[in-house]
Amino acid sequence: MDISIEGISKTFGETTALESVDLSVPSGRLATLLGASGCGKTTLLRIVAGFETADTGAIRFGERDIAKVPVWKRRIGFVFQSYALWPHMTVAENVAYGLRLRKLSKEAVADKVAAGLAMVGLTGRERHRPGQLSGGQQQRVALARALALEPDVLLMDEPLSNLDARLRVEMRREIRRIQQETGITAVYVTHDQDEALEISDLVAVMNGGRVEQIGAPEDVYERPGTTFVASFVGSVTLLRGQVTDDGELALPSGGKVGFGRPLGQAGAAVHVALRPEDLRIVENGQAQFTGKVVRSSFQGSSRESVAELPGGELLSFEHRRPLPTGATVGLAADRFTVIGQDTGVA
Amino acid sequence: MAASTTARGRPGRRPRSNWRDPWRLAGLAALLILLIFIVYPQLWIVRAAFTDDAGAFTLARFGAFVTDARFTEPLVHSVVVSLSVGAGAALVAVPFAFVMARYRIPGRQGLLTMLTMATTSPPFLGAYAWLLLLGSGGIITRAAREAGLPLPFESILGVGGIIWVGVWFTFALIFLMVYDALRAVDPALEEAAASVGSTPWRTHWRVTLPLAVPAIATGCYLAAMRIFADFGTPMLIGGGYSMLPVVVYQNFMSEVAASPGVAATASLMMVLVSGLALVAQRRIVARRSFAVTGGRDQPLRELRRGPRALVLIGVWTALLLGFVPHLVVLLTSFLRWQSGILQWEPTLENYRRLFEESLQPIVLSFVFAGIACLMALVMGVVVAYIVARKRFRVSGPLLNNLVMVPYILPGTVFAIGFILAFNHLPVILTGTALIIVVAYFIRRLPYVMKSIEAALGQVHPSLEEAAMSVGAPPRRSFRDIVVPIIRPAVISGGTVGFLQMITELSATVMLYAVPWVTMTVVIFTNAMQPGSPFGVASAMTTVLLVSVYVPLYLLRRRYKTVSL
Repeated sequence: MDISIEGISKTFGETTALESVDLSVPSGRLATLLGASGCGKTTLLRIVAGFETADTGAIRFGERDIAKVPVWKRRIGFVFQSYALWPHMTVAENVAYGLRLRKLSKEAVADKVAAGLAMVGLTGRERHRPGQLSGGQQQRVALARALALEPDVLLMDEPLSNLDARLRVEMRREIRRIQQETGITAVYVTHDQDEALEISDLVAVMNGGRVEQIGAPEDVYERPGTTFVASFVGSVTLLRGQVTDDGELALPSGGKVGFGRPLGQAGAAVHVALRPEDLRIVENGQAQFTGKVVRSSFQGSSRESVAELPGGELLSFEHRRPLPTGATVGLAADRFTVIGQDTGVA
Repeated sequence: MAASTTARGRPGRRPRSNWRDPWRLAGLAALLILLIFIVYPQLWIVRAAFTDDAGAFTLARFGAFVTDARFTEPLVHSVVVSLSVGAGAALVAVPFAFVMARYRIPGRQGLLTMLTMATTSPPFLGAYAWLLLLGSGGIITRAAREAGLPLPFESILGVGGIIWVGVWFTFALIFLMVYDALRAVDPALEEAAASVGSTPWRTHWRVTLPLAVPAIATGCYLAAMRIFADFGTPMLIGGGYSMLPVVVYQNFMSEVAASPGVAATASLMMVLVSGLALVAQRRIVARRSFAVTGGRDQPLRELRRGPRALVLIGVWTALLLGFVPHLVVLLTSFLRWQSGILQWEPTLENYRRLFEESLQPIVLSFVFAGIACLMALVMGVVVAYIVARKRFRVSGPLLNNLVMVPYILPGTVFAIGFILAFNHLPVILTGTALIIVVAYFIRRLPYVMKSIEAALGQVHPSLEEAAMSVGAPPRRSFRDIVVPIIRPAVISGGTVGFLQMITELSATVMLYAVPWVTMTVVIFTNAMQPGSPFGVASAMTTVLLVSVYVPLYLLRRRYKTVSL
């Protein structure tokens, strides 16, 4: 069932949490709300769930307008950051609670609980209490509980942020697998760009209560529409400058860089976004940038170093062989994005 | 690329109040109850204090209170006694708590249980028992006189006796607070001090003790207020040393020279003092409350043989003195008394007479405390839930503050307010059993409510949201999720409330009317009359102790720890 969000605004007292947000999630897809804390992503999710009410705007699940439908009738599944498992119930009782409210027969409840726990790989833990499980297992129970009722949409609020790094990676693949197997429409809130890029069909990058860009993970990463999106998703160097008459970039420090094609209208203020992996070390003659290596860090599969350009700009680039600090390097960009909209950096 | 833009600064619409929320209605009902039974009686006290005997407005009473020795004396006495008791009890409790928190002491679980017991003993018990021992006709005084041994004092009556009884009555309170605080100190803090070169002695004075200051301050405050508000102790063993609760009582109850105005003025003085004490305590605690929880448990260190013997002697002596009253009462309840004089003859006669003649007060005490306790629980849950969860703009903060007012109202003051307010229309309660029930209910409400509120703080709102997300309407999620989780706190808060109600004397002694007599009133009236059947009173006190300690024991066994 698709979700459509139109013109949602929300204020808490004096602070604006959401400002006319539009978003639509096609049926069976997983959309991520990505942003720093305080950007409004959780508020938006809680409005979709019905825990908060929007000041203005409309939300539809399929054709059904749910603005006036209370949470308990919305047919949602919700996974909380804190797991929110009921400590006085066993694992099986946690999953069964919603089913029992529906007055299903005992056998039907037992079957669905067993199937749900099997799906998240917790068969055999039925009689455990939540407190006896690890964080990862608790979140699996929460997922099984949220899906047991076969809801129309699955909403997840930073479900992995209380887990350690390895488990996070494992669990997000698990979540994606289950979401694709069940074919449920899902909205996933996170501040972790790796998570968002890996599991989503659609990423909505949020900043200051607005959605700055919506697109497939590849779009958002490779063609950021604003400086904020470019800097929030992945590591990036943003070179600020003005387009010269011959289409090159004039840096504020006085230098000029050509990119092989005109960057836009002469005189326009733009940012050029350069990903470290798109910069290549080249012979002096072909270099777009020449700078001194100021620091270099080994990251296993590659190294990421920073070169200081004559005007003082710092440029991050990826390479394989070690480079001594102080060495002069020439760099060329294989790819770059010109960004006209300056929304600050993350 | 749908970066949506709309004009900023559109005025945010305030969320509409949802009048269909049943909590709102419950909150208003609770507010009404608090207004009637807390605010309204206090207004009557204020009115009485500012009215002269002819019914005209006057400030003279307050003038007299500052200049007239009949009033300044008890005020000073009350403050001096309270401070002395707080300091004395801290002197016993703090070293005791430190040793228990840091060293391996044999029998620690038993000691902790007994100390918890000591904090729930009836407020007048100490005075009554020490009077039996050291009163002018007391067991020890009489024995010493007959044996020709000189005693350093005539009897326990007087200011020394009040302080002595007060210290042993309250030290366990301070002990438990300081003990918990010291156990919660992260050992890493002390290790950090050692790592920068601090000696253990210096660390103790510069790190450990300062961390316990909030607990010591709170404990001293509670101890001082307990004795400040206590009516039974100065009445029984004051021996003419006047203190405020006694002045209030005598001015209000005396059949010859009753002056409600004077009693009301003294009452306001008491409220003023206990309010100031609360402010002082809050200030000390607020300025120095550190988050020290988390980290490891404090390891228990071994003591060398010599110090250990000393510590054990000290600890058991303190505990013994704390339990002298209990032992005295238990023992004398099985001995025969003849016209106020103890015969060393074992007998069950006291209990036979008790159950034949005075069964009704026992039953009434249980019924009153039981009903009041249930009322406090229901209302406590409602108020705590609204305060913790609902963002009601007006009724929320109002409830939260109003419900705590009885916390600073001494029982005597509380009773006067009730009598002044409810002996005429529109609400008449004086002389009925209901007035006692309502008084118990309202007086203990803050304690019950706070324990439930603390438990609700442990129930993350997402637990309820999770229930709603799987289809449970709010009422259902409250029943299935919130209630089961807070049940232990409700039961333990309720039990402690019940214990305090069943041992209540200060308010009961002014509010009761025949035939609605409780155990505490019977014991008190017996103790006040020389030559009355002390054996029966002791037997009744023993019954009272049993009805306090059995529930407490069950509670502790079930929930491991009980906070009071």
